Amino acid sequence: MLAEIGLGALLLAFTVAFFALLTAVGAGLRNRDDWLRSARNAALLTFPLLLCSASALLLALLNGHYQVSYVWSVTDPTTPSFYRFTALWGSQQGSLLFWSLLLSLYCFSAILLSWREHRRLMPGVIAVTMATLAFFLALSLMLENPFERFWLAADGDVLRDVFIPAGARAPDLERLAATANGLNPLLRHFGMIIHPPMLYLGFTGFVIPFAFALAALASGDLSAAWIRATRRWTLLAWMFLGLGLLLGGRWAYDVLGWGGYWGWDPVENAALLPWLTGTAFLHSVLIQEKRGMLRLWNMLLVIFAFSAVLFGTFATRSGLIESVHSFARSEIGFPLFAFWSVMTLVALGLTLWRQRQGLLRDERAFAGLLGRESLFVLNNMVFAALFIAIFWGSFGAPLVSEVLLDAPITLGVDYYQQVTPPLFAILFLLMGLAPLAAWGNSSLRRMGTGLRAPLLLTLPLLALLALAGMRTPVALLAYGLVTLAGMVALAEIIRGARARVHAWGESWPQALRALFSRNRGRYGGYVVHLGVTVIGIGVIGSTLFQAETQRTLARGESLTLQNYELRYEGFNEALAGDGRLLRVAVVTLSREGREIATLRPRIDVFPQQPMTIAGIHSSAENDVYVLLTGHDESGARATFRLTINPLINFVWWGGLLLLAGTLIAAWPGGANVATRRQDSALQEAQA
Amino acid sequence: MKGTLLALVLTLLTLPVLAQPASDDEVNRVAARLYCPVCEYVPLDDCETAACRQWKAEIRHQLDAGQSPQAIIDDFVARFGQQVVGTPTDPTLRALALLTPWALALGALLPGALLLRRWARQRKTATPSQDALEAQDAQNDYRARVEADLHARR
Repeated sequence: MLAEIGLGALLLAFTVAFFALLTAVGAGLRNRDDWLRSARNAALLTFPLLLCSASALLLALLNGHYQVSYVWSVTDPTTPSFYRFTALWGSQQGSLLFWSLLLSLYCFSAILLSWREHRRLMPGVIAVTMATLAFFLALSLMLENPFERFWLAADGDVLRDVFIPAGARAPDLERLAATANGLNPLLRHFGMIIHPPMLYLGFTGFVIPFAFALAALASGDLSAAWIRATRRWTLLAWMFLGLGLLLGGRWAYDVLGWGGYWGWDPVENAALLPWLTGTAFLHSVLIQEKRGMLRLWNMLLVIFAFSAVLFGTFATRSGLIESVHSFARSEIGFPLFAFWSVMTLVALGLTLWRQRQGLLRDERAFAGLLGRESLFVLNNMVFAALFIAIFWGSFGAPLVSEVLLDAPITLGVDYYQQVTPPLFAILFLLMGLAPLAAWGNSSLRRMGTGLRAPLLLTLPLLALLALAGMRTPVALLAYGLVTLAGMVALAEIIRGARARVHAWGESWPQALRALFSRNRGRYGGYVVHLGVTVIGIGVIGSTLFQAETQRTLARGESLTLQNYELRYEGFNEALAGDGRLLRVAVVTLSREGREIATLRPRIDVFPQQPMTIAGIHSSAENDVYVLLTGHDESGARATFRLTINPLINFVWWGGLLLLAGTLIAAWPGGANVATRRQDSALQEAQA
Repeated sequence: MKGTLLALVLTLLTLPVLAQPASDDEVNRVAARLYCPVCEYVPLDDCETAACRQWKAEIRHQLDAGQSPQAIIDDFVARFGQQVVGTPTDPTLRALALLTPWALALGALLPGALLLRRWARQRKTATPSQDALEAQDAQNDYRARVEADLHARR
């Protein structure tokens, strides 16, 4: 019954989305308000319908309805309830349905929140969002249906179909349960409850800015309205995508057993590309808001961000790339490729058309090369270069070399470590300089004055690092740039608060609170910069100073790395409740002769594959990461890989700051433009 | 003289016996530069599939036989193709891989550079004063607020 309910709701959602698309297009063409209201109601209905459909699948998963082939493929009777829940997005069909659900949630919220204020753009917004939703629902219905069931044909063959085939009957449920596949062991991790939803919320969120952009292009209303409507949605999607990337890194660190969090895998990169485009947009959109410039460029960025989402979805779900992160090869590849091409070409065509009409012309002229606009343009150029380098490494070069030169190649970590560091260095430099430049024109003197305090804080820190033994010029340069960027953000926050303390006699906590609540975008942005700085410190430390060794030890033997000693104490085996065999080594970790931890690195043996789970001793200074990579039959001898990851926890802490900053910036409300200008003037006067 | 020669011969004969077998770290250093033949994009040192264990055993064997890390990598490339390394070793493919993104990035940067140039020219011909810009800002903000109020009343 659950399968019928889920399928019915899915079918209805598709019909309703298609109806909304047609009526929205009609309303736009014929200027019919009644049709538009009808389109809105239909579009709003898709969310409850998909919620019903996804709930039916979730109930089937939780209650072990193994006749539903999706339930059979991602759970078995030993699967704990927690993983039955996460199994909703554990494979292609379920995750596509979940994707559509989140997409409909965004459409629902955007239509409700923007209906009054952006009525003129609504036909386009509804048409684009519903076209996208209808496409993904069609994929679910026709190619990757999560409600397909097993049937037993009269001749004994097992069939998979949505409806009961003629002469077939339901198979024996107990037998189905006994043969059920179970969830992919790689997905049995706590992070799976939150990593995919965050990533999908990020991906699907970019549909809203794209829809507003296309609506503005189609209607010709290219005033600041579409930009005002989209900035907060972009920020939200960008935040979720960033969180998804960070949580994915944590999952890889805990589960994949290689001691790192970012492997420059094409699937990871496919998620990074829209995030980079979104970051560029969040900066350049400020120029359009403040100065009416970069109107064409912003339009292109919004289009490319969503285009990158669609391309990433195609690359991950079609089987184009084989990776630990990707889904199995599927028939949805061609339709996804076609949809990506059509959407991108239509959007670019509309942009070209409006550009030729002069509707995307900048409203103002440029005032100086040192102005914030110029630095933001430079920042965007570097983001574009990063996008190209990563796209080329992940998809371009492997495809070109295989198709044109018949020589398949892999571009791995070596490639990215050669190409990306200079670009990231420029980005951090600009992150330090741009907040000091004024809108319009600025001067070297002004920037020099602003840089004085951050430099005074950065240089002693570098001297301390050099005295502590860090002599690598690359590391010192990298830490210098990253710290300077962070210090500038910190100095700007302090400068703003100090101005209020002096002018209004407020206490420091009051001044900081007022500062953040009155200009959330600006100061939330600075907190984001601080978060990126902290992440940068972690990335540099764990990349440049990672140390590693591997040895086979007999019980009682030890190995040393830097000032750590690892002693192999014992080995045991146990059977977990979900059927996996745990092979656990017990090791003690000492530092300078003092025992600091007992760790239990282990190998989880699932029927499908073994998984290496690290034993980790975490501190602010580093992570000591111990892997059990092999052992003999009795466990008398075992092989350990010991990795020291300096400052790696800064990556996760920086992520939390990034989240906090984005929430501050995206929070509704705040002071109006005039008040913000008054605050800025006050700050200038105090400076 | 005879004694010296005998000592030399004995030393040369016992060298292979005394030579240390390759350590796990030495094997991993070479394996880190190669990619798993089964799981795409996973470096060999991080992979525990049967194929990768076999390759790592082969690397150990070649190191024990006195081969240099580069010779081992070249041997793997010769046998399995360029996709076993993280950056191609073939000069043409290497150039294609490493130079193309810079060329493409320069191509993409060009519009930005042209934009800055155009802005600089516009500035020379007509630079609005800071006051004028502020006034325009205020007018735009005022207009935006009026529009927002009108929308709210609708």
